Amino acid sequence: MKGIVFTEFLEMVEDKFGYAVVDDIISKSELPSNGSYTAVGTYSSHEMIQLVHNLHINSGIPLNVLYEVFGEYLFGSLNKAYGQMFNGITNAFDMFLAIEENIHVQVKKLYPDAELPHFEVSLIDENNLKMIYSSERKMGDLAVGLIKGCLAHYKEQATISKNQLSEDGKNVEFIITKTK
Amino acid sequence: MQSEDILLLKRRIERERQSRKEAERILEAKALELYRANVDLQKLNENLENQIKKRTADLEKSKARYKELVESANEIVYEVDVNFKLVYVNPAACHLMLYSLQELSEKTFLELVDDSYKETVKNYIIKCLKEKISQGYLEFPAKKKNGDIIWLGQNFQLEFKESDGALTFNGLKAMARDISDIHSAQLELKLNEEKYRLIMENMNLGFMEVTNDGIITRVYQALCNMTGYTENELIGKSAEEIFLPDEFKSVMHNQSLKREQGEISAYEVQIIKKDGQRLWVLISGGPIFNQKGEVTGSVGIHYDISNLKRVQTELAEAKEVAEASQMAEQEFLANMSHEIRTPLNAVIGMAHLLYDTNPSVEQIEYLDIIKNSANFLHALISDVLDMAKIEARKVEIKNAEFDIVGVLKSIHRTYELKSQGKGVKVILDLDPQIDVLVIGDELIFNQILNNLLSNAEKFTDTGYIKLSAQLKNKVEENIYMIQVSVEDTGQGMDQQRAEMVFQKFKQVHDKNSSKTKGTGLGLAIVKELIELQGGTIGLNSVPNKGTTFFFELPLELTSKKINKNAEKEFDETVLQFSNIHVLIAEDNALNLKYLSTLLRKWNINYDYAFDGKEAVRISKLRRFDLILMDIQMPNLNGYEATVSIRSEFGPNQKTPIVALTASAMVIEKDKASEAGMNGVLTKPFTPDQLKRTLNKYLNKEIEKNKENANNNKMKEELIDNQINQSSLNDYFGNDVDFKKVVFETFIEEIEPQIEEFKVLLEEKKWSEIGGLAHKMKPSFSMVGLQNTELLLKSIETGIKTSGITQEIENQIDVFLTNFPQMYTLVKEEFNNF
Repeated sequence: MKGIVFTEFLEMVEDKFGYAVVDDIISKSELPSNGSYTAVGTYSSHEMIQLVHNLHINSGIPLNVLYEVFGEYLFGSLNKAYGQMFNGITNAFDMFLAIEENIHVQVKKLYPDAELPHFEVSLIDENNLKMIYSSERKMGDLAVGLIKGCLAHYKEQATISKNQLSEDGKNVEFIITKTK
Repeated sequence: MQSEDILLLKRRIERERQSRKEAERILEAKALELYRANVDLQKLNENLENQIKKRTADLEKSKARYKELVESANEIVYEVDVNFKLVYVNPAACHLMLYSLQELSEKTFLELVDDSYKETVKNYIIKCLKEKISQGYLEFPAKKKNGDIIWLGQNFQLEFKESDGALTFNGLKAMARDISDIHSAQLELKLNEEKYRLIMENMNLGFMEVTNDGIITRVYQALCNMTGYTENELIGKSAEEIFLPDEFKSVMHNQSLKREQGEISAYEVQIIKKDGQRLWVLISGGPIFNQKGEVTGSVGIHYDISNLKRVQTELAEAKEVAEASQMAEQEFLANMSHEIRTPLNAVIGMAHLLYDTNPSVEQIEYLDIIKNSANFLHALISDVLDMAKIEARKVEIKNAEFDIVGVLKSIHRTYELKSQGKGVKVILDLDPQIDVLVIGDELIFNQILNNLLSNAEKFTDTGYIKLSAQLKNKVEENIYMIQVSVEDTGQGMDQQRAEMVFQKFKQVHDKNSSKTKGTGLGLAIVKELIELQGGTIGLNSVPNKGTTFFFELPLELTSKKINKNAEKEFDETVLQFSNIHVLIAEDNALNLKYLSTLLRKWNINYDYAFDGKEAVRISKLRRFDLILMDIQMPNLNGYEATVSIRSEFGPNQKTPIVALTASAMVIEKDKASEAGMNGVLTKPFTPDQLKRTLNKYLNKEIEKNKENANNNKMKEELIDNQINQSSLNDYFGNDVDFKKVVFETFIEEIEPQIEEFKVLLEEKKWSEIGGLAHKMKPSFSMVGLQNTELLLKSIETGIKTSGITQEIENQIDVFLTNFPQMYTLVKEEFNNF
C-alpha cells in the first residue's frame, strides 16, 4: 500500500483526534515500519488494517465508517497531490470510467511495485454506473469513501448502493445513481 | 503529564526522522534509477539516430538504384499529369521514339499514340475510370519522330481524383516495352494461320483429327466434300466404323501403332463414302502431341487418289501389253535370226565346199564374191542382232576364268595371217605382268578385239597394226584395270569424224573408198559392250597417220598362272582325228552335207540323225566322242534331245554335246547350257571355226584316253598343218640353194619310204617300222615339219619300250593319213622357191 495512504491517514487522525491517538494506535500495533511512514514509500496493507482497527478500539467508531470517512478525506489529498493527472476530467462518472484505464496506468508508471485494486466500470445509462471492486485487501468501504469524495469534488449528488459479490468482501458491486 | 508529552514528542520526532531517512533513501534510489534511465535513454537516442542515418543512406542508395534502373531500362518508363503531359520520361523513351527529352517534355502521351489507335486508347482509359480499374495493360502502336510505327505493350497505373462522387483522371505512370517484333510475329502467325486454314479448306486435301481411340474430333470441309458427310455427322464418331472397309482395318491398326510411337507415315486405303461408294485415298498421318509431349491423337490428310489408282491399273495393263509385245519382238528376232542364218549357213558352207571341187580361176572369182557377200551379210545380221540385244539389255556379262593372254595371242595370229598378203605387220605387245588367268567374259572380250582389229585391218594398207595390253591401276581388291590398245598406221580421220565413230550407223565415209562397208554398228557395239562391263573406250586419230583405239576394262586377276605350254598346245596344234566318232544331229540336208564333207575331209568318222528323236536313239547304240546337235529339229528339238541323253544312263551320258544354232541370242546360249550342252557353235560357221570346236572338245577326250592309257608322254601326238618357217630360217637362213637341195631330196626320197612303211605295216613288222620311223625322222625335221618328227619319234620309242599298242597303231594311222597333206605342203613350199 502506498505511503501516501498511511501519511494521509495519520494526518487525518492527528487532525481529528490529536497526535496522542496517533501515538496510541501506532504503539498498539505491531508495525514492521515502526509507524514511520513516508508518502513515497510502500508498506504492507496489514499495517493499515491494524492502525484502523486500533483507531476503532480507541474511538469506538465503527470500522466501515472509519474507512468511508478516510476514503473521502483521501480523495481530497490525492487530488491535491496528483490533480494534474485528472486534468480534462470534468465529472465524477468520467473519473470513475478513467480509474482503471487511465489513473491506475499512470500510477503504475510512477510506482511499478504498487498493488492496486481492480475496478470493472461500466456505464449503465446516463445516470447509472456500475463498478465492481476486486481486491485481496477487502477495503470496499474505503472505495465508497473515495467515490463519495469524488462526487463531492465535482459537486455532484448520487446514491451508492453496495452489493457484496462474495462473503469475504473481496468483490463488491456498486451502483452509482445520480440524484440530480 | 509533561514527561508524557516529552516522550510522545520524542517518539514523534523519532518517527519523523525515520520517515525522513526512509524518504531520503527512496529518493536516492529513485535518483539513481533516473540517472540510469537517462543514460539508457541517451544510448537509445544515439542508436536511433544511427539507425535513421543508415536508413536514410539506404534509402538514398535504393533511390539511386531505382533511378539508374529506370534510366538504363530498355523499356520506356514515363509519367503523365492530369493533362496527359509527359512529366517524366526515361532515356529509353528518347531512344525508342527518336525524340529528345526536351521534345518529349512538350508532348502529351496521346500525341505519341498513332492516329489509328487514339480512340481505342482513350476509350480504354475511360473504361478504367468507370470501372475503377487502376492498373492495366495495353498494346498500341506509337508514332516515332520519323513517322515509323513502333508497337508498345505497357503496364500502367492510373491515378484518380474523386470529385462529386465520380472519378476523374489525375495522371498515369507506365512502363512500355517495344513489342514490334512480337506483334509482327503474331501478325505473321495469324496471317499464316489464316493462309493455311484457307489452303486446307480450299485444297482437295481432307483434314481430319482423331483421338487415340479413333474418335473424330475435327474435320475440314474438304473431307466432307470428299465423303459426302456433314461435319456434324462425323464429329464424335469412330473414324474406322464410319469410313473403313473391313479389308483395310489391319492396315489402319498398323498405322495406329506407328502413330502411338509418334511416327509419321503415309498409306493408301479405300474409304466408304456416305452414298456407299468406295474411294481410294492416300492418307498421310501424323501424331498430335500435347504440351507434355504425349500423343493425344492423330491428324490425317486424305488425298483422293481414285484417278491415280485408275491410271495405275491402266499402266499395269499397258505394261503387260508392252511386255508381251517385247516378248513377241524377242521371239521375232530369234526366229528371224534363225530364218536368215540357216540359208546363209548353207550358202557359206557350200561356197567353202566348192573351193574343193577344182574350180576354174573364173569360178574361184565368183566363189570369192559369193563368199565375201555372204560373209558380209552374216556380219551385218550379227551386228544388227547384237545391237538389238544390247538395246534390249539382253546382253549378260558372264564372268568366268579365262586366259586373256591366250585370247590376245590367238587373235593376233589370226590377223597376222590375214594381213600377211598386204604386207602389214601385226605386232603384239603384252605386259609381262599379265601372267594369270582373269575373270571376265571371254566371248565379249574376243568380240571387242575382233571388231577393233578388223576395223584396223580394213583401213590399214601399209605399216603396222599394234595390239598391246597393259596392266594398269588397282581398282579394288584383286580387280585391276587392263588397258588394251589397237594402233594402226592406216588412213586415220579428222576430229569431226573421230567424234562420231561410236555413234550408231555413222561411218568414216569416203566416197572413193570401198572400205567403208559394213553396218556402221561395229564400234557402237564395242563401246556398249565395254561400258556394260564398267570400262571406257577412246581413240586418238590423225588423218593419214593412223588411229589408236584404247579401252580399259576392270578385270579380276586370279592366282592361277597361265600355263604357256597348254596354251600353245591348245592353239597351235591340230590333233589327229583318227578313231574319232562324231554324231551329227541335223535336219537340214544342206547343212548336213556341209558338215559331213568337212568331217570326211579331216578323216573323222560320223553317224547322223535327221531329228532329235533319232539322235537319242542312235546315242544309245554306241559311244561317240562328240555330238553336234542342231537346235531346231522336228520331233525332239536339240535341247530336249540333250536333256534326254544326259538324264538316261547310256554310253553318251557324259559325251560333249555342241549346239549348232542359227540364233545369236544370248538366251539361246543360256538355254543350251541349262539343257546340259557343253558349247555352242553359231551357224554359219567356217571350217576353221568347226575345227577349233572339234579341237577343243576332242582334245579333252583324247587327253582323257591318254590318261587311261597311262601314257602321258604322248602329248606331242601331233600333225603339221603348215611348214614351220622359223625353224627353216634357223636351218637355212638365206642359203636358198641348200634349202632347195634338202627339199628336192625329201620329195624324191620320202615317197618310196612311205610305200615301204605301208608294206611293213601290212606285214605287222613292228620293230622294222620303228627303225624306219627313226630313219625318216630327220627328213621331216629338215623341211619344217617338227611335229611329224616328234610323232615318228614317239612311234619309234613306243615300239622300242613296249612293243605295239593301240596307241602306237593310232599314231601310225595319223602319220599315214596326214602324210599326203604334208607332202603337198612341202611341194608347195618347194615350188615357191
